[in-house]
Amino acid sequence: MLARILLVDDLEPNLFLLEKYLEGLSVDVDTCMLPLQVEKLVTETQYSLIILDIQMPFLNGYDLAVITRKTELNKNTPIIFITGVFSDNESIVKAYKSGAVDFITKPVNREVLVSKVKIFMTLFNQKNELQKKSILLEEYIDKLKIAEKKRLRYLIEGEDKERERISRDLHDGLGQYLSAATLNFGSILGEIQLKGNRISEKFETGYELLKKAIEESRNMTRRLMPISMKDFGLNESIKSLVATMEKSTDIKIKFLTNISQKRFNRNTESNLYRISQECLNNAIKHSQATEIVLQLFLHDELVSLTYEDNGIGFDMATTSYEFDSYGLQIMNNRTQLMNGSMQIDSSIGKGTFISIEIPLKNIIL
Amino acid sequence: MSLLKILVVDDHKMIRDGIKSMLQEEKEYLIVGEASNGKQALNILKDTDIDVVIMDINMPEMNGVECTTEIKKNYPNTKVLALTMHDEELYLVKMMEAGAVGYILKDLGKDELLKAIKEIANGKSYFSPEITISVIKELTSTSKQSEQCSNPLTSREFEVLELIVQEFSNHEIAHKLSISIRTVDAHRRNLLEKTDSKNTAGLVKFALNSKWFNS
Repeated sequence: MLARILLVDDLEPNLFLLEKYLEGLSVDVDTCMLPLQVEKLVTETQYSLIILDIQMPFLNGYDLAVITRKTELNKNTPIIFITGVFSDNESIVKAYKSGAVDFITKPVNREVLVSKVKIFMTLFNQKNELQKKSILLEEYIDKLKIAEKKRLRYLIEGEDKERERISRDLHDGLGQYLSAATLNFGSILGEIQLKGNRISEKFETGYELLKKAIEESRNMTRRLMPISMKDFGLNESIKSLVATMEKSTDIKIKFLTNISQKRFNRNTESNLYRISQECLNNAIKHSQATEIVLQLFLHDELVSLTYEDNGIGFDMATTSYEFDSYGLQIMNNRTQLMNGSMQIDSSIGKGTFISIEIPLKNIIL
Repeated sequence: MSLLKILVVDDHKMIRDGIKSMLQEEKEYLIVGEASNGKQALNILKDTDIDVVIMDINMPEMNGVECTTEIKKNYPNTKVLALTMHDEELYLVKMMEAGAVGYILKDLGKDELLKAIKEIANGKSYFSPEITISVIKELTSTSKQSEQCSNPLTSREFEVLELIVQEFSNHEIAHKLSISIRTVDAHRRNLLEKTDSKNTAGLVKFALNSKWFNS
């Protein structure tokens, strides 16, 4: 891009001379003899340098500089004033205040003019280069961000898929074997108990351990991903999660929702389920709450998941915010994957409130 | 007393074998058939009188819920006993809704199995004590409840609503409760949804009409 220079002088011979001096520099030059036309020019064209005569009728150089500074295209364009020989300190200060960056005194010396213009052209080119690089850098950062999000998506969706698979395997494979084993042992338990000797004692211990193993595999399935999610969706699965959690603690957990049987796409359901699970796990570990309300509401343009408890809360400004930050990080990552936002509000003694908002676009089935 | 005729339905042969091994020495019970999915079970029911069906829930082709619905429709005298793993409460609810009269766990002992069959054959219901009835109850009740009963306000929503009624702005409410404005927004949004209001005026109207504010 060639630099474009605007020359303004109300006297034609001066203007002609200035233009002549600049010949040989690889720049485009616009000239203007009527100060009243300058506003239109600086509003419509971006210049790399503006050279203004100060003493002109109607609008002088200072006025034009002020006008130029108000335009979008030329608010940062360097301005050189051409002043009379008599310029005093006062008018120099006035010129700087109106937006000048340099001066040339009359009569204009060709070499001085060309040297100054060259300096500004170099600055102009450097600025252009910087701008280009900054655009490239921004593009690169955008690409990195997209790649990072993609990576996160693979990671989280991969994790969910794997959880689902293991959960399924535990339930359909190991679980069935363990159940069949207990059924078989159970069918002879009575006979063996009648013997009442060491063998029956060992048998009973083994039988009980087997039952514990089943219980344990059930807990694992539940922690991983409930097998009912695919068939019953989010509402029922969270209800079941809440009922089970309530059973294992003294905390009163309420789940309120208006989503009814509505289904979201699979990843959204997994994410919202895992966020709810993470909220409740955190609460059980840290909050000392006696009451929790988890709410899942469908609004006009978004789905909101909110969590509130009456526990001890934490001071968000201090390190205690970092408490189990891994759990919060997981929640945050999953929220971002759904293009949503997460907001935490807590203070010591006032409980904790977490709000997650997900835009509805593309998530409802 | 005549023999009780039993059909065992489960897609895992080892589970069917396990159940059979428990019942084979019992004189009062006769296993007259086994099936690995709901469709097979219905085929057997066409030609055979069955008193009790011991039915798995998750099966290929036709699952236990669909099969139970069919049985209740076509063979109302046949009782269905759901056979379940520990982690299937939600499915269990659907089984009960479809018409099963009891459920037992897949790792139950022999005494319990005999007791369960006897109870439901006598027209009673049987619920395995090991599975948390509270959970099931909770699930069945809330799934019906949520459709009619509107959602109550939480204590924080109540606090925010009180301040809205006193004409405080979001900014002031945030300051008063030491919470962020976005949190106030979240509460306000839930309040609008729960009270079926379109705007602040609606919220105020709701509050003034509700009994909490009349004290």
